Amino acid sequence: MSLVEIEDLRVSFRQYGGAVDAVRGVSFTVNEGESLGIVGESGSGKSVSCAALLRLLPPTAEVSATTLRLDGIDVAKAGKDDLVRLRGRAAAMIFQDPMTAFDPVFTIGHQIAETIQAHRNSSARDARKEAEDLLQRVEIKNASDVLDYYPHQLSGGMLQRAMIAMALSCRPKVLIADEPTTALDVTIQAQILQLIKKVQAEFGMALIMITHDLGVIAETVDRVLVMYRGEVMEQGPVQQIFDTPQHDYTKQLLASLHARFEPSRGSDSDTPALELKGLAKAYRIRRRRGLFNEYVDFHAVQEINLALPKNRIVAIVGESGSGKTTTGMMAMRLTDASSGQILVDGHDISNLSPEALKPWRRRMQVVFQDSYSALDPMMTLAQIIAEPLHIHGVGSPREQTETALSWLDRVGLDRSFANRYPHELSGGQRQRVAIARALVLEPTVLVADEPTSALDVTVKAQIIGLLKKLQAEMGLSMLFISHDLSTVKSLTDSVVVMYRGRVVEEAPTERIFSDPQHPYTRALLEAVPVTNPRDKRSRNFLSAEEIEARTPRLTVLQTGVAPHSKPQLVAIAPGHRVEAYVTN
Amino acid sequence: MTDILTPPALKAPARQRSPLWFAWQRFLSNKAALGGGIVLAILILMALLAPLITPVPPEAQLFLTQSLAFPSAEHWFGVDNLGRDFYTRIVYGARISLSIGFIAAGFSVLIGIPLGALAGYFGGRTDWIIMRIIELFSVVPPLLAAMLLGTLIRGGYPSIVAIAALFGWVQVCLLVRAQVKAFRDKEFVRAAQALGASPWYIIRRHLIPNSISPIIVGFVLAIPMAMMLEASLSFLGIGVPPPTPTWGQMINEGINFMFYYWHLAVFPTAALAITVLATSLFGDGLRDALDPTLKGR
Amino acid sequence: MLGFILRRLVSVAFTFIAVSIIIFLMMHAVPGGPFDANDMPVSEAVRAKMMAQLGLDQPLYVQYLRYMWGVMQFDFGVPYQSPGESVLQLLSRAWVPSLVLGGLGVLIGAPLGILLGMAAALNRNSWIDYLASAVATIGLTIPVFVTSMLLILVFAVWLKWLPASGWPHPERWILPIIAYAAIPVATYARYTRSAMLDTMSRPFVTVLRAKGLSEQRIVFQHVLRNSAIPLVTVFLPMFIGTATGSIFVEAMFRIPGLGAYFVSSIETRDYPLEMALMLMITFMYCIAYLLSDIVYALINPRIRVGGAE
Repeated sequence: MSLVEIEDLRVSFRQYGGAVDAVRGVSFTVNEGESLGIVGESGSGKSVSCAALLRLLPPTAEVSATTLRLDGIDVAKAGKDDLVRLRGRAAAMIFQDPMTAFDPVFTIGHQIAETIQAHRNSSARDARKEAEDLLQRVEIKNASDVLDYYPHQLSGGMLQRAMIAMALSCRPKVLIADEPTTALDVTIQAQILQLIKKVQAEFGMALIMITHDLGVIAETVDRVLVMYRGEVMEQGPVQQIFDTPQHDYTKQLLASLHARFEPSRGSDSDTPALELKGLAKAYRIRRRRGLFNEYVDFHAVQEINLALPKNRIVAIVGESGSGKTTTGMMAMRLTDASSGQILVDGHDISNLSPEALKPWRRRMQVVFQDSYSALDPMMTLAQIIAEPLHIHGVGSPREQTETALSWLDRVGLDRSFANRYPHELSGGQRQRVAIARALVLEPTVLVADEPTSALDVTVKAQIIGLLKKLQAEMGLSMLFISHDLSTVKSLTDSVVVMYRGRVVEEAPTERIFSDPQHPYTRALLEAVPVTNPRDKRSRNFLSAEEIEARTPRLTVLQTGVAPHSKPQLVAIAPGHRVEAYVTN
Repeated sequence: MTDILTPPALKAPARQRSPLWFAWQRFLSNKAALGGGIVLAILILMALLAPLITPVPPEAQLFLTQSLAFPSAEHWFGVDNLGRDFYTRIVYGARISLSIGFIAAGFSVLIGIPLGALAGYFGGRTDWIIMRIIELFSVVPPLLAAMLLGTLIRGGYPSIVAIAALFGWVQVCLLVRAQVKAFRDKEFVRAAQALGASPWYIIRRHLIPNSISPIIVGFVLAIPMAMMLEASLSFLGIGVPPPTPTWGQMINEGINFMFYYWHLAVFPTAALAITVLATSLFGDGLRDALDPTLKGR
Repeated sequence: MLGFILRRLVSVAFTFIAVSIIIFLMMHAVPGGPFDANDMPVSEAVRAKMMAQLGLDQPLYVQYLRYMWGVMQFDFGVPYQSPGESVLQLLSRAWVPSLVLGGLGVLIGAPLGILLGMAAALNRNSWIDYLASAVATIGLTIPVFVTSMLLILVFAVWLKWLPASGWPHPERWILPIIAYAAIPVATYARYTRSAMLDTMSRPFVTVLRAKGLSEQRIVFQHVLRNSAIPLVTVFLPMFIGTATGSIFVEAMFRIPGLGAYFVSSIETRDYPLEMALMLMITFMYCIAYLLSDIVYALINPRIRVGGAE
């Protein structure tokens, strides 16, 4: 008998004027010790199916199924006691956002111990001791301290570890991980995935991995279920799905992993389209000291030098807190820099007044990450795209609307969209409109700040394709800020790697992927999920101290620069610079 | 490969139901709010059409011989101690109550929107100053301060409106400030900044249109506040002076007669209670419908 | 933590001083002052002498400082309406009924409101939820004198069950206490309900369910504890509501409390008494705000413990 048996599961949510079908006739089973991956885009019903398995859906959901069994218990008919047994003991769950998954007013130790005591007769002391053991098993080093921490005192990665410890506390037979790494950085994601695999083996659990990311699937599971719009498209062993996908949708998903583009043509001009010279950002952080405030400078970005050649795409990669977005916003003069210069086509715009800056704004535009808030919900699409023309007084209102309509065509939307409001569009469509708005003034520089990170995989590939097409047509110089290394690899000409507010390495794209020099760049590349299960491997992770310790050491002879006690960026090949200690 | 990267131009999907449609559905399904809205509409009509509904003027002592008469077919709500038809006075009282409510709420919104938008958009020092001013209002109970002001400037219709607006803008300001603050860092605002739009343009074109729900809610909820203030001041004899009919004043006079001529106390009390309740229910319903996340605050 | 309290103290002190200046200026900006030619016809010489005697010929800021100096020594001057005693004596006498009745109202009303709100949140869209909403809306929107009037009309005039007015007989307290309790009941019913619903919709509650905790434990330990944090901050607006309402409750039920004196001080333009009452009430609110900020910080680990990073 299987651990999880689901047959013809249907879930719909009641709404005003009807119902929305979230899951339509899904069937699958999970055996003991097996790892099943469920992959699908947002709204595919993958999370809802698993929430139904633990009866975690809100009362507005209507659930029906021929069979819905977990560990031999009929979930639909489970009483109070059965539910307690199902939740936590038969199956435990890890959620997407660890920051909101813990009760903020209780300590981590309390919340783990409470779970243990809910399922077993255990004294408070034993439960606490066991919580500490569990924290150690999920590789939290100062476990005894962490027991007394409140959730807000821990980072996302640490909280996700604690979450896993809590899930393990009742020795569940199946661990359901619902997008467990989506909210985390790449390097942390790799660590958490490896940890999940490790504890799965140690505790002999089955695993259901719910994700939108094929890389995560390739890394962690034996069998895959591909879901689309509430239905199962296909299922099979992971290798088979990757090698010989049957369904069109699966093929599209896989194709989006392997997009390739022509390199951009570049330009003869030596003047970069955008150049940042010694640009830095320090925030004054106010610390309370008794009655008085103490000010400490926090260097979000340390003096950064960067050139974006004309008609090229340069990537800035790094994890959250690396300063990559701040750099982009400073370049756009949306955030004030503490020091340094911003040169657009050789002209310093870093000290211009808002009025003097306005004409320069026509030359440089920005596309943001979140397509939901990128468009004013109260304006029609035509108004949104025409707004830049309106602000800069280009043409008559009629001409502005006409230009907006032609841009709808250019970004692949029908003109019938003109009078629609943003809420009527899908995420990808909204991002197309945001791109049209950014490009309608025909700028020469485009800063794209994680333009696809909020989008589904197949849509992401389309938007990247659109950006590349427009870049080539218009000869745009693009600063592409991203944490997504696979997109960076396929799209950009060169890469700047940022780490803790500094540039640690900079090289042509091909070179940085084939011959990374800085330990952080290597760690970053190492953490990227594989694109085929065949390539999966065990990884070693570097701590922040180890990264600092392994910073390359070069001599004056090798680099031709003066020695310094602090690491500095030195050129080691044409276009390849790396942060290194220079000694005699 | 190529087919997913260059899809054909996407046709616009069938019209989706707008957030406003859902708000309307939420409002319709809230029976209390719907009822409140209908009652309020009837009251407004009564106030507007007062001369058509009751033929006698409210201040005329036409029925001195029947002073203090109980309700009858001729005088639905009886006659007051000065020989005036009480039904007429109640209907005309609605004019005072509602007009003060609406005008004061209007002024509250006029003061609250710009201050809230400034505080929310600029933050920092501007916000600090505006919030300190609001803090001053929070430590002084509005009613006591209104009473004090009322005695100092000696009542009267315009001063009541001014006092009600003085204490009504705070709520509107806070609502608008919260909304503007939430929208200030939205990416469409950043995009407008990147286009070189001035703060004034962004506030006018993006932030205030997006604050329309809290503004409507703030306006509607300021109405019962102002009506309550007027009634309370009139009750204490420092509101709109007689012989202008106001409910607060009538309740105050009604106390003296309540053990014998109960109608003089019951009708104005009921009229005030019903009006304030209907307006509040309508406002609460609007708030819940327009912003489900604000429910019950 | 100590720094936090001190900073709040400074901020509240500034607010209090600002309000006291505004009230003082308002009182003295009235044309004529207490010796209005109409209200109190006296000869020019007598008037000047009296003004000098009371220090009213001094510049305003001197008057203000002198007044506040007195206030710090609990000297609020002499009330016009009862010159035989000091304002302080009058107030300490008037305090008692207000405190007893208002205190009882809050003590009975607040727990009742919390229970009602909890029941409403746990049984959404049931009759008790509608009852709670109705009680909350009526209590918060209908002026206290209207509620009082309705209570009197129903229980004293119509049913003749309870006496309509009175002090000091305890059986006469029942109606005023109900009137006083209206605001705490309404406030807490509404806020408890919304705070609990808010907490119950947060993701961590799903996590608690998923790990197999019983529904009772989730509600009584986690949801209540989290909802208590906003509830503490509501205590104050509620208190303000109750205190403001006291004026009308006391006027309606003819109770010789603070509110009654406030009304009479306004009717007779009794400036020393008015000023003293406004200052005292403002001061109480400042202190109450301060206290609730401190309690809020104490029960919220985000503030109490601070970040580790």
